[in-house]
Amino acid sequence: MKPKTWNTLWISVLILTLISFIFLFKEDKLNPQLFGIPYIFWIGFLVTCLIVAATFIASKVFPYQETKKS
Amino acid sequence: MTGWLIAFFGLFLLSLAYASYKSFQKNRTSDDFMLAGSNIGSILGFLTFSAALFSAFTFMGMPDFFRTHGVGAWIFLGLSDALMVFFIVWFGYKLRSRANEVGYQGVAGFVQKCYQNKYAGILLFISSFLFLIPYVAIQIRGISIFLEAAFPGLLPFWAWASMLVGIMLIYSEIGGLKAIMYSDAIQGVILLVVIWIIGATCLSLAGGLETATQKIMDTNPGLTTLPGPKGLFTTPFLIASSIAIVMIPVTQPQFTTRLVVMKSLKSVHRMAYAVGLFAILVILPTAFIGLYGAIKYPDASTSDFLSGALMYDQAVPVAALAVVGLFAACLSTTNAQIFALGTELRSLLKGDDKRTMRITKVSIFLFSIIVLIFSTYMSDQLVLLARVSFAGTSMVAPVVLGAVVFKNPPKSLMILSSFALAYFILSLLSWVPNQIGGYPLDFVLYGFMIVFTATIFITHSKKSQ
Repeated sequence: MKPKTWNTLWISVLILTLISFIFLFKEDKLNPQLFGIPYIFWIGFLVTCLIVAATFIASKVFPYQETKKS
Repeated sequence: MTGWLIAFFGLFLLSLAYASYKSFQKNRTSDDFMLAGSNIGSILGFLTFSAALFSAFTFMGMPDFFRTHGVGAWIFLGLSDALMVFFIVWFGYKLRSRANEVGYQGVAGFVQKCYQNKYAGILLFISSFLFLIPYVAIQIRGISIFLEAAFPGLLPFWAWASMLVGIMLIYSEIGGLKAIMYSDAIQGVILLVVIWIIGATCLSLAGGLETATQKIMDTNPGLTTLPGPKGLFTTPFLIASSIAIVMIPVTQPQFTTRLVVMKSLKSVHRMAYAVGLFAILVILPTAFIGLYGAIKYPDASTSDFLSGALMYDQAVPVAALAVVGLFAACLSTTNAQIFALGTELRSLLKGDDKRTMRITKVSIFLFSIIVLIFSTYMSDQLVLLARVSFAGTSMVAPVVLGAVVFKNPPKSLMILSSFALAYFILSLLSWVPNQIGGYPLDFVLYGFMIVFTATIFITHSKKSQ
């Protein structure tokens, strides 16, 4: 597996995290609601699901093999 | 209720006895006993990691956190756990590669070998001891107080606590880490099933998610936004919490050891995303219980809310299952932590195998006694004390990260971590302020450590080249 895919993935997760804390998780923001669920709850849930999905992809594209026991 | 309770407890104790029996080997080495033969597959690995991670802190603390601080609690734990499992993909690889090169018996011994310096190991052991003991004690206190309130007059608080520690000591002394892992697997499944039954019941009693959130918006709108009605979930607090939680596999030895004893890197990676899914599945129902509590028990004390929502508002078999589930959740985390302290001590010891194992077993017993004594003096702030434990141990993260990244790690990382750990402890003792410039101390310390660790890493990489 090429390191490029893995590098793109971890950089994307880092950017998503920064965007979330700086721009998405705003104080006193209630709307837009999703099926009556407050904004912070569904957006936090969505970002969490995206990162867990990224972990699944990372487990498939991680390019390095561990060193064997010496 | 008593009949159901006896039946469920009986089944639970039988399964623990079976786990101990399956794990017992006569002529085992200390590595077999303490590291489970380092041959753990994905499923057992994922269940033991999850059970050690989600504990009474999740079962009791998180519903109360949602009830009093609102939906931002999801970011505090759910998102942070997701970031942690993503980090494990890289960290697991680096840790296992380095552990294969230098050997691994525990994090303290591992960093001591990597730095070729005794102080590095002692620093790791001190941070584990100082911050795991109060965390274990608060879990035992939480569950014991709950059981005392749920069954008034049956047993005093200290007797429940002693029973819990006694059961844990018996099966861990018989079967070692393997018995703990099997029991974790059983406890993890119980935790997931019970929390979903209770969560679904609470959601239905609250009239569904949409109706529940609408009611809360009308009565206490602060619960539906950041930073919550008490102003806890500010951005610096959430960022600092995320860093503390992401660093759990690096600096909380019970998790670091679990990454090393897995069969292969592939198993670690499978375990990582499975734990992420498990986190979502476990934390979601705690939000339902918390939202229900915000409607029905807005001003009740923590113990009144928990005994109401987890027991009295549930059908009798579910309430009995909840008691067993809580007991299981608490047991799986405490055994992982106390056993990890034994592993850490053993990794610093030298001498023949039998003597080392004897000292380790005695130390596990002594740690349990210390925890029991401590549990009578703790406060009831379950989640916040857990967070202090995560933050406290995370102060030594630069030392462990240096050990896994470099063949000859720079000693300056030890100075950096020692300073951060000492300052953090002084702030807990109120000898130095716990805020700097209006920001929480751990947030500022993390900023400081990130900058210095990155600088040390870059300059050391250039020197090595």
